[in-house]
Amino acid sequence: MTTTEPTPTLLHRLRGPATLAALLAAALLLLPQLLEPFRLNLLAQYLCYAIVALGIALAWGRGGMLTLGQGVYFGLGAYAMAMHLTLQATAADPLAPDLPPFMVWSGLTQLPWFWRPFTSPAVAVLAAILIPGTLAALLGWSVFRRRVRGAYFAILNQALAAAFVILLIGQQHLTGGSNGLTNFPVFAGQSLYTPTAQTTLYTLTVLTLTATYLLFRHITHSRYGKLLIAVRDAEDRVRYLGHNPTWIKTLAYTLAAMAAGAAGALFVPIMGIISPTLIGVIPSIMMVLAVAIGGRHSLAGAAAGAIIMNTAQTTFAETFAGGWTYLQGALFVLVIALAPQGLAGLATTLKNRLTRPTPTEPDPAPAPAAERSTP
Amino acid sequence: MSLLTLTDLTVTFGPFTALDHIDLTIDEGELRFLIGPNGAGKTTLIDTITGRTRPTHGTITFDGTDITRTPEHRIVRHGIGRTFQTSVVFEELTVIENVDLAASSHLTPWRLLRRAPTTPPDALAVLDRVDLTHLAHRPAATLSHGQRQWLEIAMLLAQKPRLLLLDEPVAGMNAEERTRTGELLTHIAHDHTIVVIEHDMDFLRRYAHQVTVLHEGRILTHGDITTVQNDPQVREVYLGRTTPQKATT
Repeated sequence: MTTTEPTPTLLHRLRGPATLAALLAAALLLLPQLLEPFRLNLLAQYLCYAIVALGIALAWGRGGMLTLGQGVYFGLGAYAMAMHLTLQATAADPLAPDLPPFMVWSGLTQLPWFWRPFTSPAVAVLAAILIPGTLAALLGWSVFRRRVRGAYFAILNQALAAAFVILLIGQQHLTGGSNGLTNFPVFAGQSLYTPTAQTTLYTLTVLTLTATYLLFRHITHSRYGKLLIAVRDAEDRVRYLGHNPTWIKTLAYTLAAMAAGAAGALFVPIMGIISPTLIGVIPSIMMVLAVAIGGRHSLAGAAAGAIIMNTAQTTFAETFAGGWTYLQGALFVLVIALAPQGLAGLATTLKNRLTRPTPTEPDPAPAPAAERSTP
Repeated sequence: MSLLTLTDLTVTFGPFTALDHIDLTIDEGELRFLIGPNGAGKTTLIDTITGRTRPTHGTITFDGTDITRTPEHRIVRHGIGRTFQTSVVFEELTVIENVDLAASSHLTPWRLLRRAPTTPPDALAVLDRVDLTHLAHRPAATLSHGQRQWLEIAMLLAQKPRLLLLDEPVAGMNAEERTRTGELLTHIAHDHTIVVIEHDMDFLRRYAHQVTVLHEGRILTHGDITTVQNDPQVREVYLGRTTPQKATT
């Protein structure tokens, strides 16, 4: 028997990048022309959730860490950006006092210390990514070092999401409470309410999604990516290869949190509001649910799952308001029961059936002989 | 020169004493077989050396360094590798990827994050040694039981350890596979120190030179295979009970 090394042909190797380029071109050139501003804005929101989904696919799909609290990291990114936009709005309004209105109503006379750095847009953007990253790294390191995993880790994440919401609501004078933060007319001197601004935000989201996808794709193809799978399937065995699972898991968890933070920061100017109801326990579960339906083992599947689920949610909510929740539940049960690998798994099965109808058929595109390795 | 020294090693699980004041020395270049009836503490001994179980009392010294409290992955990096009774390989990864991960523990995180080569030459060389080259790009899940055990040995060799601890490497293998494994062991023993736990008497007779017998957490006796086999104490606790064919030897 010869070594059955997969040697992709040039056509095969170009298919991935070509698909990506076509999708990117369609998203950037075609969709802004075709969709009315309202729909484009909605799509931009879904793409933000797709960025979160990529992180979940890395941490959960590859690394086996059920991240049931991504709303926290999404929220931290979102609030970092929202704080900056709130301060901008206050500064732009000549009639308003120096404080955001909700602080004035709460009786504050001075801007709280931790709000001050957020007057700078650069600080806000960096904080939106680095604060979730740092929190996830600290939490991950301490938890994975003690070998907390599985359901305990998932519950811990849920508790974190619940605690975060309680903190936001409880500290109304500092965070805007359950109303959240809203009314963001300007960013870096530009009005956010014009169609051009919205198209720019959409473009930025598409590019962030693409960059995150490419980065995570590279990671899954590295040795580290294989180690992540190894840790997911047999963590203890990995120790006896001389690797330390603690840092392997912490890194994936941190990257997922940073992606969620970036998505949150993009989401705020697009959506125009951030509040605890958008980032709590239920939204966190929805983020994981979308990945389960799209296919957690595939980055593209996870991102597609987030876009499909959110599109479906809007479409169905427009037609029959209450019914969506039930349909979503039914869909989840169906996917778990019939296609545990999600839509991406279904697609792979289908493709395999179509491309390999008869195993005796000769190789349709034989690779150059020189490229084949010999045992 | 002694490579591994266990001094007064004791492991207790609640009221049960798994290892009872063990003193044991393994010399550089040795091929040592460890036998004993079920529950004698053989696997616990390997678990304790590799950090999976922590001793209640006593010290473990490897190559002059005290490794009694060292984390598992660091013990491996010191140069002690092990296999498990039930082989664990990463089924979703290919055979060569399994070996490659074992060979890459010394790489920095930064290098681990770079794109992995499809056919790393080091991993391929090790696969060649256990004769699994033709399966290099198969998922490990498709391997037979014997092939899995050899893959584990390949993963072990890829770590470039100085001391190999093998827990029942021929359990569940057929006669042909046993012979192959025995030859592989003899071959590896040329440039490694090896400790093998084994139950199979036939296998022991063919490949063992130095044998240590464990019984109820203590070292019962030690010596070459013929001496050990003829030791009346050993016959009573171990051979007499498990091998009916002792009359013929």
